[in-house]
Amino acid sequence: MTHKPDDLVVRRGRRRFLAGAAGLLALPFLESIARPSRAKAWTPAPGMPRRLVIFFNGHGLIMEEFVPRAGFVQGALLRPVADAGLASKTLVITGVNSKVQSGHPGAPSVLTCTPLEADQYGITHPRTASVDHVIARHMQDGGPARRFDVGVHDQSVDLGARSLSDDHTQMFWSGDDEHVPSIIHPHVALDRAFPSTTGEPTEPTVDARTIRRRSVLDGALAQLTRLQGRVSTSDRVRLERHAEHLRAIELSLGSTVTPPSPTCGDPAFDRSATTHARAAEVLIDTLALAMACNVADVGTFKAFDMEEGAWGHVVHPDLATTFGGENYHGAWHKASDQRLDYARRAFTAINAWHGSLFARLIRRLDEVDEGDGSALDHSLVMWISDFGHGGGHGSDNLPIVIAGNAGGAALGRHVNFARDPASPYGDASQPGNHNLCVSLLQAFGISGDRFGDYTNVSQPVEPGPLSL
Amino acid sequence: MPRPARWIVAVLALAACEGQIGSPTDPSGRPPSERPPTELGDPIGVTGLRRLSPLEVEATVHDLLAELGVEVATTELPRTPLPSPDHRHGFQTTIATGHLGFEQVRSLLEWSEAISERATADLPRAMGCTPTAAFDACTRDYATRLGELAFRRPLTGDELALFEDVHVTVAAETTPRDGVRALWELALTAPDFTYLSAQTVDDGSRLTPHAIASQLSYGLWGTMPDAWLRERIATLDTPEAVRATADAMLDDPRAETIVARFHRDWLNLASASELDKDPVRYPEFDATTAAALETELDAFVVRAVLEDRSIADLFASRDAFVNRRLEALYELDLRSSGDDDWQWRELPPERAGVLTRPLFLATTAGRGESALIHRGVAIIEHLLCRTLTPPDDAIEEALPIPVDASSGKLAAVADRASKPRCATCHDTIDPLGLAFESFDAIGAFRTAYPDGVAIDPAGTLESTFLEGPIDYAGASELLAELAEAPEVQLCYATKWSEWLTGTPPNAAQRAEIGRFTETPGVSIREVLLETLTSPWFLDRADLDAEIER
Repeated sequence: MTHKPDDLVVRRGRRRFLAGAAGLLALPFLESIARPSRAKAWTPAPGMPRRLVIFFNGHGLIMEEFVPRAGFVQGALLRPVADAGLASKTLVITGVNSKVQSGHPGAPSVLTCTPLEADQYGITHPRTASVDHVIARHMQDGGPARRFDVGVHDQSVDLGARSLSDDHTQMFWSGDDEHVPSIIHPHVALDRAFPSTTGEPTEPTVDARTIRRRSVLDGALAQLTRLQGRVSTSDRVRLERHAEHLRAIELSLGSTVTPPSPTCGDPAFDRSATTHARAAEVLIDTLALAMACNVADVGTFKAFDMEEGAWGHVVHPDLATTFGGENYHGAWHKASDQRLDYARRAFTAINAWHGSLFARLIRRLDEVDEGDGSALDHSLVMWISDFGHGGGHGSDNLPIVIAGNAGGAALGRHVNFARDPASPYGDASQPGNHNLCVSLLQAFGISGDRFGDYTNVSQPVEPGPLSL
Repeated sequence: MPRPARWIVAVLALAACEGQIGSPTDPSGRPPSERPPTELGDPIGVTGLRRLSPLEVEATVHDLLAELGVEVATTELPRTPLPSPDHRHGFQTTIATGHLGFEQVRSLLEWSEAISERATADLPRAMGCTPTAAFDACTRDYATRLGELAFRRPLTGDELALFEDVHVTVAAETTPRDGVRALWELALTAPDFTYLSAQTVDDGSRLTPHAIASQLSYGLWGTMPDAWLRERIATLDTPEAVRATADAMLDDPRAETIVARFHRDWLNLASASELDKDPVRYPEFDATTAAALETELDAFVVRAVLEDRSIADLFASRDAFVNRRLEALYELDLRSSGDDDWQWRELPPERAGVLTRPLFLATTAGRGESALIHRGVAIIEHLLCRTLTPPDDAIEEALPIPVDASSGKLAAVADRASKPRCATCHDTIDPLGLAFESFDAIGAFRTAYPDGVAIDPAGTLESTFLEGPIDYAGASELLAELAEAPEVQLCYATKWSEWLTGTPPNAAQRAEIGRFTETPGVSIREVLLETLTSPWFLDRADLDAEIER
């Protein structure tokens, strides 16, 4: 990471954010979200994005409605971005294949760029962190990552459900077999990011809890150490990771804060969303503000693909025929591909809702003035899916949009690497997810032209970034 | 008279599309049961540290609170922030459901704080004395009980000193209640709560009686050992004593809940609330009927396991626990007086065992029509322990499946059979699924599709694991034959081993399980008791050897 003396413009915006985060002073959860110490602060070089935000929807898209027409005219899926006047701040990329493995088992490899490996029980999982987490660690000089991960799920409006959810499409990984779950309940996400909005503090004082936490964390670490001496090698690694997380929480207890700011204190969002659509909007708004307020360096949003919560509120006359009792995944299977016109129309309606959520995310960021540009201008926001064409069930021709700061690449255009970017089946000579990840890493000042495994791949892939 | 045999199923054809998990043979072609454990080279004892599942954590906290004087319904307690288990990765009890990430560890700490608040709301009542800032007799006794219950074993001197240190440090700076809250938070965030103890007796080879009691309790009851089991811990030093205790535990109502949960997990069954059927086509199918499907299946599997039925019986029995709605669905003469009048009845010959019950059939169906691919895959994965890997690119060339499938789906079946890339797997999946086409989307029997086309569920099954081809007229005949196949019985028994130990059995352990199931007519209960007294339940693997590997 470079610390150039001439990055004053960037720093001015940054300091405003730090002030914003400090609005959380004396509030619950403060210690867990504030920066451990100033020495770890991420100071991007001039022109570099300050934060990474990834928007993910599972199971691909109706690609012919995603690929821009000539003249960068948007189809149904990106029309909400154009309607928001933000097409000029986006770069649409098509013709990039996921090179490690295709289909559902390949989803975790899209951003890790490594194959799944079997553990001693024969259960497969990624062994490495995904690119978002590598960037998050880099932004903390290798210290604990500052992430904020949310998603809309079938159970987002079921307050009796667990608030952290895994699902069948596990995209974000913080390490070996360590999946990053998403917060699915809006009120939990708000409490995590903006504790001032809880309204009903259950703690007598924050101090008492902090005091308890210090002792409890010390005690739990002592017990972990005792246990580690009596377990197998693989379990020892497991317990060591657990201990690392406890130490990261402990480290954050001693964090200092800066004076409060009105901007980030109380977003007054709808805490009790009763529909999936509303829950998704609140989660998107919370993510955008949390990122602008420097709650985290890396943020993610997932529209879970399997459940009705990912689309159940969308009204379209072809939905009943398309689904017929199937869930999202089953309906894509049944439709197979765009040969079923009614299914194409129904999925286009659902994917257009995904597009509207992405548009909302970047619009919210663009509304935050950071002096020398908007929060969007200072963010690298990426929309990606695990599949290209959903019915094809394959990971060629992934849909990718980069908004805000594309690491220096020009915006307001479409870069296509495929003969037919809407086809479920690309050519093996097209660039891959490795190249995309290298582009992301380079955008954040991480040098090198490789990321992941270039040997155990289903299609050949060359080193280097995407040619953007 | 020879039966029509339109569909020839060759299970061996699966080799092209199956992965390694659960593959029952090694490259030499010999099944594990024919190979000695030493040759297999796998550790036979317990190796992994099993983490409690979210449901187990919640049940344990409920019981822990009750033991310490706080009565609160499980549904009123905050849910653990652990992610829901992923069915693809085995049972809810399976060890390896991933490492805990930062967000999970942080959320667990916050969850422990919510629990500690409930636990300490009325401390004098719960403790029977009033705590002070000191670690006096009142608090020491409470901390000892809390620690021993939460860790499910006696505390060491160092651990009790740790509890004392935490209480005294916190209480000195805050209040005595905060000191006690910190004890709860430590008890719930320590790894000794989250992971099942794998402590061994002095020579390092056998698990301690406390560790065995915990394994028994979570495997059979889904929660921490209760007072009765704790009383017996000292006796759990021989396999015979473990067997007697486990046998008694199976007679406890908590075992019924676990037996039902095991089978729902194993077959990946939908819950009643998830069953959504077309009200036009199935006007009689409402929430009450859906709930009846669950009751029936649970009763059937509980009886099969706890009343000493054989494994074959589970797949072939026509006994069913029915109320009036199910009598109608099964087309029995009506004897039940209504929804609450349940009776054991014998089903017609088209039914055989758990896989012809409506809950399974309705789970493996769409809203209006059966889903033959789902059913075929379920047989392959759940009954035969084979793993299917989805093809990367075969969908490109397959016909879409018609939405109102009816007999129209047969064209798609023929289409998949004619295309080599599809046929690799569907040559096996589809014929097995077709055998179940006699059951509609709610599991009712039929002989024709809604469009009048007759259903032909007959076929022939061939495989190296069978002594000869099975000609079957429909699903019940197929299942009755498969129920006797050693491969099927071994598969089912390995699932129980995974449930009870948290670990999919390795080849050496599968070979041992094969010996349990080779006794003709062996009961499921006996298989459970054999597993619970096996080396991989009671003994610790040689960790040094494991480390070298």
